Amino acid sequence: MAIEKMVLLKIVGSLEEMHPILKELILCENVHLNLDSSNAYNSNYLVHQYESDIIGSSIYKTRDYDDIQNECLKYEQIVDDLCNGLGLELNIDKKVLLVSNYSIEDARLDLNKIQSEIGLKVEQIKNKKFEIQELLLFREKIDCIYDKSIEFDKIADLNFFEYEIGALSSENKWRLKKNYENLTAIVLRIGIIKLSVEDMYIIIYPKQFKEETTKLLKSLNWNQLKIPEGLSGNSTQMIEQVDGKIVVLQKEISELSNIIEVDKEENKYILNKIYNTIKLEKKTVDLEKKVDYGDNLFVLNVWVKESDKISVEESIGTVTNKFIVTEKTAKEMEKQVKPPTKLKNNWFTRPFELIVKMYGLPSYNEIDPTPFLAITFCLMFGIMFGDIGQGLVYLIAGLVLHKKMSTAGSLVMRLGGSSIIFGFIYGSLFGLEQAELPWLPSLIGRPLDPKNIPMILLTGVVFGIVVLTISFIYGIINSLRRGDIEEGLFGKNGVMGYLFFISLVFVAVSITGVINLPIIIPIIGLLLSLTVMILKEPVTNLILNKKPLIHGNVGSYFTESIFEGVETILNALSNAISFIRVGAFALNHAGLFLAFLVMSEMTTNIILKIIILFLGNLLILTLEGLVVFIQGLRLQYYEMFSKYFQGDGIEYDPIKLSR
Amino acid sequence: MNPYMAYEAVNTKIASKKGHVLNKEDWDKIFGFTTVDQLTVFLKSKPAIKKAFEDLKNENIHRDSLEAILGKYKTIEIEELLHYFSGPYKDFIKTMLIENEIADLSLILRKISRKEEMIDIENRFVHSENYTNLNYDKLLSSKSVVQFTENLKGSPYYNGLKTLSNEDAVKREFHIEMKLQLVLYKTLMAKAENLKASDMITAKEIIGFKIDLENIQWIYRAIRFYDISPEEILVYSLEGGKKITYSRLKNLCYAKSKEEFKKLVISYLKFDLFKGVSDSNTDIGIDYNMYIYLKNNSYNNIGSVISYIYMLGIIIDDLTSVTEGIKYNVPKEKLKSYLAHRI
Repeated sequence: MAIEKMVLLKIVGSLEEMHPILKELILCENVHLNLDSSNAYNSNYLVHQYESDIIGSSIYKTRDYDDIQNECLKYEQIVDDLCNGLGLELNIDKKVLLVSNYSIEDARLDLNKIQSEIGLKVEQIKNKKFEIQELLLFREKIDCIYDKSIEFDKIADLNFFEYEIGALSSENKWRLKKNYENLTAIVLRIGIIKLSVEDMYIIIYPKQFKEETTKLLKSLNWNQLKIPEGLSGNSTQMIEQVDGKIVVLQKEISELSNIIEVDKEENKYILNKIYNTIKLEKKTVDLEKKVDYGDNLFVLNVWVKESDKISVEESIGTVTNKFIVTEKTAKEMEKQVKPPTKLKNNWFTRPFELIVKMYGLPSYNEIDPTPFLAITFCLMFGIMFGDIGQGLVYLIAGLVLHKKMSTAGSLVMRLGGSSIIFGFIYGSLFGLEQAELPWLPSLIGRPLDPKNIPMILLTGVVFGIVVLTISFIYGIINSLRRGDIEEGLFGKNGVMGYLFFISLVFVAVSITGVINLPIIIPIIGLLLSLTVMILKEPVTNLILNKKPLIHGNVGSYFTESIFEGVETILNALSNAISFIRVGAFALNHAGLFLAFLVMSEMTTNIILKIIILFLGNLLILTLEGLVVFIQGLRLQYYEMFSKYFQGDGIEYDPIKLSR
Repeated sequence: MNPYMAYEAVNTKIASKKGHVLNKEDWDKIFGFTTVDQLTVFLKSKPAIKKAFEDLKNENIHRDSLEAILGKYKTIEIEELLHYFSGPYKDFIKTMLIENEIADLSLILRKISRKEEMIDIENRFVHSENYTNLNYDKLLSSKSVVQFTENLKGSPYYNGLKTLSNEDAVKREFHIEMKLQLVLYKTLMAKAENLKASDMITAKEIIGFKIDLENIQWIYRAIRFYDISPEEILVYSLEGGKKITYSRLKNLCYAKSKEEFKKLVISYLKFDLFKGVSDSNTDIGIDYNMYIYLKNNSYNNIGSVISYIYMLGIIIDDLTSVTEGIKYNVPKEKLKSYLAHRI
């Protein structure tokens, strides 16, 4: 239950074998590529060092990546067209590449073979489908002409005039109309296009004004309707001709489809292989472009999980034995670079990673807050929303949700479980308690019992003090791991911050007389810690023997740190009190149902009673459940995470074919 | 009290913004610079403009051209002002972002139609990423002008450009420019309709004046440089002008000579737009007269916002001219005559 251990592998190999090595790395899906060109990796130095050690072959000529990529794109387009024609859908699937040694050359040959067998027919189908679409579009427009008897051939035969039919928007029509007196053309509306701002027009103009009319029409976004070849007569006749043409085209398509259907399954298998090979080639080339290399060597820095180290080396070993892998632990590197983070949690806490990631991913050397969050979140939710029946509803809802959204479903199931446990403690089933159901087991009795109320509220605060104490400890450890002594020891979330917080708690304890403690002791703690916090920079520098003690302007330092001190006082107060809400919501949960119970008692009608209680439960399950969840989230993010969690890690994201 | 606009807050904000933009001493300093670097360093030291540089740093964009940074500056300013508005007022001010959006659309179209490389074109973008409805990745992936316009489907720009061919995009670049302008001013006027009556009148008045100037510039350029008929010029002209009504617009389009055109302009506007302006620099006349107009009118409503945004545009145009002037070693006195801020 922590963050997965990482190692940095520096892979050095010969440039000639870079391509197959990268392919293997993509297929093994275990390496997080580091393309950070930071000096920390020393890649340039390594290249030179190894190049002088290993007597390389002749200088390797790097390939023209743009050419390869363009070629891949071309093949992809062909595969795409073929699949569209065959009605196939291909998926990324690395398994087809693992079974045999299938190279891009094989893919090219296979593709050419399929293309020569069915390519032409697929192309013909595509063209014919396109033709049908165009014809349908034309049919739609010509069909909206009012006067079906206009014979366009005859107008086209005029000696001194030309004509165009087409669509014009009403806005542009008005522009034309306002300047009609200066126009050298006749413009007539001949139809209305449904569901469009445009209407159909015919424009007739003297042949000698062709050029200026065409230009003018262009300025008006004139959408000319060209009559397809082979159509003639008036619009009714044209529609008939179009329908006839479409029938013929559809028949031709179905004949062609029957021919290519014959080997469809086999073609699908081969095309899938080709498709994945092209994808792998593209991905590999993408990587090749980013790798550091010298005259005949390349160096690649990858982060892998410590447990995957051997398998990665074995993967490269399947390609060649001429490679060197050196290893550095994250610890050696973390001062200079950020290792990626991969969370490792058990089945119970894993779903809570979702909540952590919503805030931020822990960085590699931070403590993973997930287990702590999982336990405290479940506890908080249970205390605030304890009910056997309602918890069971969440549990079942989580089970159902699990199939569609596995993480969210699992989360709801765990919260439901916690709710059930606390349901037994309070003795509550769908809001009904021992008063209504005497057989119901209960550990402490109903929350709204007068003797329980102060205890529940106090439990909230005590719970808060405990979890905040743990948060402070986490925060101190994280700061010290980062080497930030100033924050870890003297900061408001460090040792002094905690001393201040706990002294404040003891002041309250002392005043209320719960423990017999002279009030002066915690007050001394308060003053001491506050003073150190205000002086944290000079104190740190004094310990570390650094000069000057205060960087920058002394006046502004003190103004800033005094304000920070005031903020710390307010925070410490509000932090502990904030947790009262845990208890308060437990009361609220019972109280809300009580309201519905009272309402149900006003009626004697048993059906009405059930309806009221059902509605009450529904409201609690939806609205109150959400509110409690948000309150829990707020306590985690605002009161607790702010103490110890920075969350600026980089996610471990291994290269995969599918991405 | 206008529920959609926090007047006092906006006016205070604008007053403070105005105070931070360049004053006379600043301009004097700017004229002393001999390299673009000096100008950049100076602008970076101005709190108001500094933001534009910082914002870019946050976005991790490396911009090499000062012009693009200045363009983006205006977008950032408008975005900031938007926080003070809601409802129809927010809609209206958002429309003012279109101006920079159409600059980027024209840029992409130009690159596609001329088959130029698109490398790092994002660095020259000035549109608002927060408020755009366009998918720029998709637009940039367009291989042809026709595909580009198809990718615009669903946006207000589509209708004006849908019949555009590659040849049109190269030979009739003004078609793109004017059709996009048409969208800008049509939308502005339409959105102004939803404002409160007094705000609407002011908005329409300022924008109407701007439309007058834009129309005059367009018609003049069309008569002077493009081989197109008066009918076409009229079709491309913008509607909604303040002093230049449709019949006046028609007269201007059908003017027989350059001189007649200029005479008509003076009689309509009551001032000489072309005074001291050369044929190729009519936009200076526009900026200058807009500058004078805005300076002479003060507003205590939406006008103050429109006025500030237009004023910012003018300042940015001037700074861009200065940058060019420095690059091409234009003598200072001559450079000054290219600016709306005649110092």
